Amino acid sequence: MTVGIRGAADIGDETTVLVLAPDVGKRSVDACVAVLDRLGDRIDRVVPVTISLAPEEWLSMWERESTTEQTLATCVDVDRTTRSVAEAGAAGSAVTVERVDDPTDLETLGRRVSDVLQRADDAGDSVGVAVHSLTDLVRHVDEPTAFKFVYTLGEVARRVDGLVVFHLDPTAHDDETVETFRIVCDAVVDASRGRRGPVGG
Amino acid sequence: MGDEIEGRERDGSLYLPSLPPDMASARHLVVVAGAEPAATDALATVLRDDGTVRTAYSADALRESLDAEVDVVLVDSELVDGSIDPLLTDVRTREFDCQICVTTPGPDDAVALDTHVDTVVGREPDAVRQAVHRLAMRARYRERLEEFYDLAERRAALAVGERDQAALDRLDRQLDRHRRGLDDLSEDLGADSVFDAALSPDERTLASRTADEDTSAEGPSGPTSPDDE
Repeated sequence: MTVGIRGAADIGDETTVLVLAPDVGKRSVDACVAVLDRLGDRIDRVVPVTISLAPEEWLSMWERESTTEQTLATCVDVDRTTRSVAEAGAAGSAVTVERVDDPTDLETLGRRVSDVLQRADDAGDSVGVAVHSLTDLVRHVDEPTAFKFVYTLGEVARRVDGLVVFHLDPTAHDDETVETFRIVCDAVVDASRGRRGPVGG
Repeated sequence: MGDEIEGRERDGSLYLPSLPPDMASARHLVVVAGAEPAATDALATVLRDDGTVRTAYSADALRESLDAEVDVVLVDSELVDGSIDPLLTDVRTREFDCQICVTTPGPDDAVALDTHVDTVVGREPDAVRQAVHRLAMRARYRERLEEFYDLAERRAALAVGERDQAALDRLDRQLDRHRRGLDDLSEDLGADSVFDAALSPDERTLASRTADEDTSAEGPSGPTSPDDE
């Protein structure tokens, strides 16, 4: 299914959601927050996976925009630069930042997110993971590797009734790449334009 | 250890541990390589209950036995005098992907390796059989996932190009079937090992897009560690 932002509440029980939004200013984070927001009670905790954007920027966006009871307890930060955990948590929030140093090491990233999902499940909470962004990941690994990661992370989330939102900037990829990632995801929220009907089945 | 294996072989019962039906029914191709023909054949006999097995009693024979059909390679740590690293590197760098298991004399014996292997296990037949099942399942998952990507890529190319609806419908049906098969396989893989299964060692530490950057202190082949279970 493909919906606009306003239709995100109709995602229902889908597990993997591709969010198409241009990476201009904060629009892409905005779109991810808006999708998670509209899922309301389905999610207890939100876990952003930040790649090019600093965690504190993501967290402050979340605090500003989110209107639900969902809590933001953990952030998985993927970056090989020397941003420290203390710096990442400087916004004064109680959010734990877990680091993955190598953005090409999707095995470690997958395991880290999987651990977060499992811990939340053990506590009786369901998690909405926001991978921000898939466009950044594809800058570090090739498309087939990113595709396998998307599918596998979705399967891990499915086991614990979680959900994963993958942001993709459609202007940064050719149509074929965007279409390939549409196929691997259960639902698509197209925030790059107005609401429109199903695309490509 | 050798006496223990022979004793268990006579007993026979330990060679048939209870396995999930989906694991037991799946067939795979394994190469068992060890310097001791009797012990190697004994392991091969155990593994033939679940799949097709080739045996190799030397490094050269192992190299000759490899092809794209092989799912799992079982290499004894004492197959060659000295380090087995060059041999493992040779296996790992073949153009086809397979799961590599190193067997050691005892279950807790450490083996120093620079090459990434998928698991290290003692020679005890029950443990080896379980390890091979697990690795074969990972091999199937990776293979199916790669097929799934190929189908998705074809479908995407067709969708953005000339839209042949009949071909799109056909690909959609194939994608659905593949997805169902993958869902079942991933159910059987634990969350700890599903990412190992999904990504080949090259993909796990892919440096091709960032060749000018230092990818990892552990080197391009990644760390060697026992399978996490």
